[in-house]
Amino acid sequence: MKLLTPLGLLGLLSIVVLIIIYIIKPNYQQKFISSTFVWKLSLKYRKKRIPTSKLRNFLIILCQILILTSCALILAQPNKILKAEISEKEVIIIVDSSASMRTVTDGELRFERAIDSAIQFADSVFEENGIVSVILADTKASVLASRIRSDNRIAVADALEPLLDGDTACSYGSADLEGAVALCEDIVLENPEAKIYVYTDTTYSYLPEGITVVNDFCDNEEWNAAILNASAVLDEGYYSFTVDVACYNRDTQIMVEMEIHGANAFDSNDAGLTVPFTEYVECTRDQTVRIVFINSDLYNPEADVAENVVYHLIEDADEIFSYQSVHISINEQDSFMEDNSFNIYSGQKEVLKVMYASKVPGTINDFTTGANPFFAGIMYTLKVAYEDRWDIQFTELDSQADYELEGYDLYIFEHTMPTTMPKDGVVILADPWSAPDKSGIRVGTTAHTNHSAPLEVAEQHPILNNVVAENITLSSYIPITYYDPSYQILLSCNSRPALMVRNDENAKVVVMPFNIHYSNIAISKDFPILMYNLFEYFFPATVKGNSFEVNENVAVNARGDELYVTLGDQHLYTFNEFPTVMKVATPGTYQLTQTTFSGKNVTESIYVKIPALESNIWRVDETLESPYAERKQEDFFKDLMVYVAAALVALLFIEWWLQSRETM
Amino acid sequence: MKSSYLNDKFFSRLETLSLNLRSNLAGYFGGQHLVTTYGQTVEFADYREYQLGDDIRRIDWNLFSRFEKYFLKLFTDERQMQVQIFLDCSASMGKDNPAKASYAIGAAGALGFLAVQNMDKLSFNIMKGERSANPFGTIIGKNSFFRAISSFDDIDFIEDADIEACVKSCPDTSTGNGLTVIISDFMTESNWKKAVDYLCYKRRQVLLVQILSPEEIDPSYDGRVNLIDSESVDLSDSKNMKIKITRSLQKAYEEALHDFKQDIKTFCTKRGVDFITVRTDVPIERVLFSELLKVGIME
Repeated sequence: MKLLTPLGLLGLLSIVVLIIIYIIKPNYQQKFISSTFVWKLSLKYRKKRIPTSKLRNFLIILCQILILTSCALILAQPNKILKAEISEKEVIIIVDSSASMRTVTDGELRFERAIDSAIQFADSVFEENGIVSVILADTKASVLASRIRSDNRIAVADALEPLLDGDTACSYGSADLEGAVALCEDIVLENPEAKIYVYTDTTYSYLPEGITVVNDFCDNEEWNAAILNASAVLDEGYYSFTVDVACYNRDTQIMVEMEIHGANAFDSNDAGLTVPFTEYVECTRDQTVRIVFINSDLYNPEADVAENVVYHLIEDADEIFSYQSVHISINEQDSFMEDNSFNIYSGQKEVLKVMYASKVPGTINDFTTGANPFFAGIMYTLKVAYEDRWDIQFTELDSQADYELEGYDLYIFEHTMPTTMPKDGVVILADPWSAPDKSGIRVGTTAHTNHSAPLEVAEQHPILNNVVAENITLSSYIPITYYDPSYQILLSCNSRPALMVRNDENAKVVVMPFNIHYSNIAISKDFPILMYNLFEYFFPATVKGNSFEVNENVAVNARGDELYVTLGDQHLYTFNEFPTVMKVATPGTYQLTQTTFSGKNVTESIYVKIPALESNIWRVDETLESPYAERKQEDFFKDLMVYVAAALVALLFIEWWLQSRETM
Repeated sequence: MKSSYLNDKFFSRLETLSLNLRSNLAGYFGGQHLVTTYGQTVEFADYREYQLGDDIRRIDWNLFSRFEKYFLKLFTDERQMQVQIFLDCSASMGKDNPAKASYAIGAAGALGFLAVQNMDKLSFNIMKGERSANPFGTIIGKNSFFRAISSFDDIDFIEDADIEACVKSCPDTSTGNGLTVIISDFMTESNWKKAVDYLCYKRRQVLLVQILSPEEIDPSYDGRVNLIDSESVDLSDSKNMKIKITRSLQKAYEEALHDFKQDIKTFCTKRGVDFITVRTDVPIERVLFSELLKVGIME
């Protein structure tokens, strides 16, 4: 039994008070009587008949003492220890496997030194017949060895020694130290006396009781110059580049080199230029400095003034309006080399060829003057919207003789239909008065609705995201008399298809069997939304962004059937189902190669960097969550108060009963 | 007000009663008690043959004419008895209980009245300490009696009384000539039984009257009580008791009291001594007309 409030035992002093009361005793009531003669005789009678009176008196005193003891015990909060205290020493070793543990001194990683230290510590614990558990705080924490005793110490060695090859064992991402500490809860629940030793380079402002950070394997001379982030921004036709650098544990001047490859290429055949830039920055310890490579025409010396920002002006001769890649590096022999370079790949834009065929086409570049401005206006809007992703190139045709059925990514046929379907790309058939060959549909003659009939959603589809079908009305439509089963009917009017889509290996077709001049769709907001959804559905971005952090989940999509992912010369993944998620565990340039359904081979590059936080190899965090805090009092102690209270009630009853017997 | 019972109305109701003493007592001439000896009264008792020396005036000549023998006609005798009333005047009899004292005095007065009414000699012996006092002397006649009882108010109930010593030391205790009444609660350490034996040895008719108050018969107090005996000298006197009165002790008290009275009764029965025990809450007339008639001491 353990007393949670031992001071409650001071209540036992009341027993002394009780004894004093018994010693003093209450005054006897004086009664004057004629003679005590008979009373003295009666004493002889009572003594003969009731020999247990003294025993009763003793029991009453005993009960009263026990009652006071019970009260004192209740005050002291008696608890039974459910988990017997383990006298053996027990430790939990958590090894931080974050990228910052790759900091090198004398050719040895911090991680390797931490493992060495942990092995020695585990051995010392085993010498004392202790218990050792090992948890690796990787991207996801995992238990390598659980509660190993000295007779099985080889299990700890087997768990830790493979990690000594830190180059493969230590991650490039952040460590889930919180998760690792949370894993300790089960062990701590078994043995609340178990101590946690965290082998990490992170310092904590506050550590809960029971957790000790071990960082004696860190060399105080270790320092790191890092590129934390970099980005390119297209501004008024020219690119500006922003690079964030920092130096940890040292004040020094850093030389930042930036090489722009494939700069200002005019077409795909043009390899472009390689433009180098160099900038020296004075880095104060642990301060982030931003370097902005900016076009000199855009630089405003009065407005562009900020602390810790260095501007490198790009002269007119070096102005960059396009580029293939940017390589940024700092040439410092610091302790942590993983963040000394950075690549930007956002300068490449894929050409998307669109053919728009109509008897009366609008002029996309000046759609306001065209006879049919609706599709032209939408195309212009999309061209602007996808400016960062696509280089959308339009071809407008009004003569059926000029129609091309190959070499475009998107074909839009309005009113006028080709005799046969294009061989590649996505085809939009708007107001198909005739069905092209191999289109998989047959059409009837134009039908009119009595009134403007609203459309109805036949099937939910990503193309209809944010489209309110009830707002779109038709006054006439072309009835589809037959359609291939591979078509999905998305919208209908009078139970007739009003929007169909087909997306399979053989064809990617959208059929809009109505004239937009006989519909309000062209003037409603649902039309650009619908067209945007069509683009997103058929021309999804392979990845959204070009820079990611290690262990980030990268959403991957493709416009073909397969997508290959390589890192340098190493093939990592082949994806066949999209969308999918790719986890990037190693920093570097990843290349994503695919053959689109229009037959083009497309390769895109993304750069994966280590998390910026990991560049700070002397990071200070606030605290770690205590696994002990999670434990509930009742998990370790069973409250005995209810039993003591029951005993108290029983004693009170017995004492009352004895008292009542005493007057009998 | 100790003699509150003693008034004309009380005594007038006693006019019809008299003490019934045993007939084998010897006494003085002039009384009204018939005795077994032959005397000069008009009450015929027996015949016997004439013997030399007899008074020839007492020869029954009618029998002589019938049997031609001389027979004397015998008559019963009447004697005057001596009635001693020993009144226990210890503190237990009335120091803290005036009703008990008044009752005891009333009982003594009533018995004394019956004595003087039969022309008997009466003496009141006040028992205190080891000696009894007879402050009124021998009382003969009602005038003397009433003079005596008028002084009863002056009787103090204090200290204790050794009944044995008091009775034995009484100088006017004659042999076989009357009745001795001891009025007490008999709650005493002294050996009163020896006093009774002494009186029996003196061939006196003895009557013990035990007077108890209701509180003594059925004590109503309980709990932790310091019982102060009225005869105690101070609080540290051994007669006092510190006691916790419980229900069982009360029951023990009842049994002790019952056995105490039964012991007295058994003792008296063995010696032909009359004994009555009375409660002070019972009217004294009922005691006289019931209890004393029942034991035959009164007719």
